[in-house]
Amino acid sequence: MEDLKQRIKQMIVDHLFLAVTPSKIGDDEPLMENYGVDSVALFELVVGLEEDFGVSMEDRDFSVDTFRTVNTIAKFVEANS
Amino acid sequence: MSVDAFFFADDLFGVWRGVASAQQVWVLAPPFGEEEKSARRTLTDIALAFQKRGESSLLFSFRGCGDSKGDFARVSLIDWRADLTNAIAEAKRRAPEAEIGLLGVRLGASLCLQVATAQNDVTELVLIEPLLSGRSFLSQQMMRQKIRAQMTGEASAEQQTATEWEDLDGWPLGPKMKSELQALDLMKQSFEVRARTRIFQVGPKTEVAPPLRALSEKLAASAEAIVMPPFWNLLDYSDAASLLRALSS
Repeated sequence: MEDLKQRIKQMIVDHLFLAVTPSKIGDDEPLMENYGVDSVALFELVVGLEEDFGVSMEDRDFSVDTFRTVNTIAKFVEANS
Repeated sequence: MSVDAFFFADDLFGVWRGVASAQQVWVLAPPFGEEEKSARRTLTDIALAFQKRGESSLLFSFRGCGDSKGDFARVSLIDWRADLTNAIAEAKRRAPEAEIGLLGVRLGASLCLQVATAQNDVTELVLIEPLLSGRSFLSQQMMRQKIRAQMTGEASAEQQTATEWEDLDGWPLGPKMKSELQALDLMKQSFEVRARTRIFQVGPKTEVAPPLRALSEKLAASAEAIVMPPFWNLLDYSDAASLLRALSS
């Protein structure tokens, strides 16, 4: 799970072009508030999940709540990969 | 060096940069809808970079888009391919001795590829993140709308009242355009392109993704990954320096 979270943090930094070190992102840190994740950025994370983890998100699966924190994303990836 | 904003072929709005004596002229084909708005600044940066090295360009909008005339809900990809052909003719008229290059972004790139097949005199073809599959583009747009709906509390796509057309980020997607986009699949089409063809992937990855790699092999084109944000999605300005450097090679 720790490895998965690190990969997710790397994906977030890459896809959002963030100027932070992935390890600085807290597992429960609110991504939207702390990293300014808006609807455009959120779409990039959906693309990132598909490209980097092979997890394709169908319309009906999508929930903003999935992207609240690294932990919530990790749970989704684990359940769907 | 002149800059001229004008209408041509009745309905199409274009911005010409350069001189009639240029040896190279580029027709710049934008994406459509919201992507066109976001890509405008980068396409202008590209036009300015071309102008700096003595090459002319015509940046235009497809009918129903930007400042071009026409009803977006009624246009089709056939119309837009005709627009691109008209833009090539206008570029040739303005720089008669120049070699013709086509540079497109997203759907503009896909249309450039289709039109270049029928144009023997296109010598350079630059495809920036071409849409390979219209169907997956449409499903991405639906996802985008769903994301926005959940984040803002606005009506989601499936809650919208059924009409003749669907809403694509505020752009009314007519049934004809929708079915043409659903049918668009560059990997299933055959192309005979004589132009030197370069494909650019734009995004966070340093390696070209397999689908674009496959297209480059199919076209015997080069493919390069440019690490920069997908500028056609962004409201903010994104520095196009890395793309401009790649284009200059």
